[in-house]
Amino acid sequence: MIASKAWRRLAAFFLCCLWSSVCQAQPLAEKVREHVFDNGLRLLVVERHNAPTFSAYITVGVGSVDETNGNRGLAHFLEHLRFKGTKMLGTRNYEAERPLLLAIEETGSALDELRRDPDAEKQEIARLEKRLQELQKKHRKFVVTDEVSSIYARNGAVGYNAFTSKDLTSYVVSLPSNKLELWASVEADRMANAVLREFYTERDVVLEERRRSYDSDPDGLLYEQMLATAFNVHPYRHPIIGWPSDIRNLSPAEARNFMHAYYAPTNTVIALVGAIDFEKAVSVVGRYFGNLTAGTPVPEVAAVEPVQKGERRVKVVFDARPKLLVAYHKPTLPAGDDYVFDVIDLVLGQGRTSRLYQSLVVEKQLVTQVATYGAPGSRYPNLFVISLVPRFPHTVEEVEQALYRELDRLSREPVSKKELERVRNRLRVEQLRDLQSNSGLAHMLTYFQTVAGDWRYLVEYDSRIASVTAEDVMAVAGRYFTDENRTVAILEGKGQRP
Amino acid sequence: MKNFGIAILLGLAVLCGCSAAYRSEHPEDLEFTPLAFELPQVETFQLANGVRVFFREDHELPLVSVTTMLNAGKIDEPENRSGLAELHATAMRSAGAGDMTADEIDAYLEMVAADLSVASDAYATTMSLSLQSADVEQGLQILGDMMRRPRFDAQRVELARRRMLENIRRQNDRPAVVARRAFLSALYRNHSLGRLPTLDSVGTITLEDLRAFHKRFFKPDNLWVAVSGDIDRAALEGYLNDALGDWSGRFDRPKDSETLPPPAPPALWLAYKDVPQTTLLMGERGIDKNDPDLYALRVLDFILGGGSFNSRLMQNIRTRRGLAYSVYSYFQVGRRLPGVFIAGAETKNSSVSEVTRLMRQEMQTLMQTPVTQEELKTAKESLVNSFVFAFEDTHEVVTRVMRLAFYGYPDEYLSRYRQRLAAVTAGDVLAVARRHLHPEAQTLIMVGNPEQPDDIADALGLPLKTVDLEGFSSEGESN
Repeated sequence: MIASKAWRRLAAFFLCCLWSSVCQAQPLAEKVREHVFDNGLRLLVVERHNAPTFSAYITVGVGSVDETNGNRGLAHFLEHLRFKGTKMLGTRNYEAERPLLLAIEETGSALDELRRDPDAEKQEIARLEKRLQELQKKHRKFVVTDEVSSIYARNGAVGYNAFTSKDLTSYVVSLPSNKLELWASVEADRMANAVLREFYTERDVVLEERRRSYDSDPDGLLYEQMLATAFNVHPYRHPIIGWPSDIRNLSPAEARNFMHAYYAPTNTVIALVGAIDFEKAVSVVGRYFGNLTAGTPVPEVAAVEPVQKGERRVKVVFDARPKLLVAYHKPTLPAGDDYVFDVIDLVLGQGRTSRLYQSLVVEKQLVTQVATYGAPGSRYPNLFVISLVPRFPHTVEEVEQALYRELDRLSREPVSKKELERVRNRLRVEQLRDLQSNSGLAHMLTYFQTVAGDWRYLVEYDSRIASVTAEDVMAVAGRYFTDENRTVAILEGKGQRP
Repeated sequence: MKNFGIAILLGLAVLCGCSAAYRSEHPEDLEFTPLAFELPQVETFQLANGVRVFFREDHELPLVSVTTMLNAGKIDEPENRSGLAELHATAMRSAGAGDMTADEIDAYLEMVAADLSVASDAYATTMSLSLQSADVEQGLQILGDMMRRPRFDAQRVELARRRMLENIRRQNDRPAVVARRAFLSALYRNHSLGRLPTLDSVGTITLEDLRAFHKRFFKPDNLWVAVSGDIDRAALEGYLNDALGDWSGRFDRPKDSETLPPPAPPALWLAYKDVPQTTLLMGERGIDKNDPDLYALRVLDFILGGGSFNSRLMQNIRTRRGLAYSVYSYFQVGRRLPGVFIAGAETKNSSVSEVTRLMRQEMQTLMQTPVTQEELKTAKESLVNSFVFAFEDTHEVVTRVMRLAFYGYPDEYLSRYRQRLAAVTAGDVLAVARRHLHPEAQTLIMVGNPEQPDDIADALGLPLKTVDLEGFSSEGESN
């Protein structure tokens, strides 16, 4: 729940993982052990016995991209609601609280409908609001607030959290290694028996989250507008958290239907990394999750973004100093061009010797920061994004022109042998660094299993990157870094003196 | 709690026939084998010139990590040179060293995929190096050159300065950043911990200032080094002696007689931003590391707002009322001088008054009524049982041991940590709440467009003052 605020960094974070995930076939392929249960649940285990701890990632392959007009924001909202307990946890008596849950749902739904009606009587709205409050107050007597959080805490858990992206939802926690069964017990219960309590109160929490991460945050707003401009048709255009009116109208019935269909073994991959035994993990996970109903596979998104036919520009006016995002449509993994973009990302934007840093930060001193990353997801064609922070008194226009010159150069001159060597070394060493962290590795494995369909994407990655040539880079840069394929989002200051 | 859980479980099994063969045993009824855990050992040794080294071998991967610390922080900045420690750290890293230009250093490090950074905080300058074990010798040479022979090439220093100035120009863009600065400024006032870099102060720092700062602090007996990874002790000692062995000089340690000026009188500070949500901070001066109340305060903080979903602030403001996404408290333990106690939240502009009242009320309750045994148990068990995660990462183990020694923590701090937490009683929590929380005398910061700020100030019994965002000198203060 907390990490979901980090959706934007997540985009970059996922990308980081992508870069850092090259694996010489041997080390990773040998370390990962795999088991698929009859109901489709996939378990990946890496034993690391350095410390008596383990990290657990449960990743469900459903994210905001799987929403439609009527339920936008639901994947993220469900991530919050699935912390509210089950029929067993988070309640003093589920059977006794049920009638209240139903009454709350009825009242809340009627209230939402009235609020949508411009002719609704204010008095009636006020009456229902009061009734909802009374019901919520009564219901509170049955709630054991955040019981799972408390059980985990007492057992020494750290990093108990979840996050939702465009592509997937992950539930994560790290525990002392003797608590494997505790984790299985709590999480299988959540998968089978989650009860969506405190629905309307939590909806208000999500509205506060939106105000915090988007409406009061210039970077959040700019990123949101960039996506909404670059994509016309594909659901990648919508914010993970939903637009404000989406959030205000999410209903318990929709939430339950969505959850019961998709948050199930067939769409789920679990990674356990740390001081645990593979055979024991298979046995414990099998005992708790093995008999759960398989669920409905998440259908492919039908919408296809049409080819962009000309530059798009959007401005966001905010009480902050100017910033700039430039984005180009590109294919996603496992397309060959996507590997080339991984190389381009390092050549252009990663490190002090990268081209954009050298040219725009050090030589021309037009910007103080430059970053490049892929966004907003990886299950469907996505964007290559360049983020720039202009340095006063230089204008956004100056910065843009300097950027385009560098992109143009990439399509006309081959990158040097040294640049390619630097890129390959960086990717090779980053994969080693990623093996140092239980949670980092668990994240990577479930991420690629979900978006690439197989974690072994990582095993092949190194050799695919090694085969990218200077000519490939030139050709891809020429094909995608065009005016027609470009979206420019500009943050324009207001209310501030220079 | 346990028996209750079983009762529910049976009830459910009868009433809904429990789908499939799913075993819904209450997680609290599970039994666990005890966790075998010993504090990992860290080797320590000293070079002849006084450099202190902390070391742990770990051959899992062909990588080595190095972290160094020196006393050289914000607290050491002269009065009109705010930002000196930060600019110095950036310039050390990015303006050449020894025989190498900045570009040559970067080209080498990036070709071998090594990461090297230099940063400064209130008390220390910290360098971090991560590289492949084959490159340790060369990497330590560069690190040594940066400490012993920094070039401070003028052009690169200027670049670093310009980037820092741009960051200062942008410091009002994000409400959270504005709030933190206003808060520190009110609590530490003209002391170096409260003086924030300005366009003027950073603009006037000269190359000579950088060199003088460097010369004063960069001495072998002021250097602490933590190393972990794929290297043995003999090789490490050899490389360290090559890079640092013939470095001489004595660090003239300043006397520890420093005191803080009194904080600004309590007030409600408003920084206006045209945004739909107000960022709220409230707090006061806290404790330093030698305060015997440290352990009871950790428990208190967990229960108040440090324990995430298990804390009162979270449960009463977020979970039960939906008034905030993030709400928390934090007792910062000052390494030398007292740190700060902060409670914070963000809420829509129309509910600032309510959230302010609730936050203050939670503090008052802790001063009036002992915490419940259930809360005490959750807080203590969480803090004690998660202790093992402090030792998950080998390099974090070594740097932690170094950091504790660097700041002069007692030797048995780590080994007795769990025992001391476990001994905290509800009476202790009540006593430290009364001793360390002063809700009526706290500084409050609001950044945003809160409704009726005058009424909020009246309800709190505090004067309403305005944060001057342009100069960022607070009204009535002469900094």
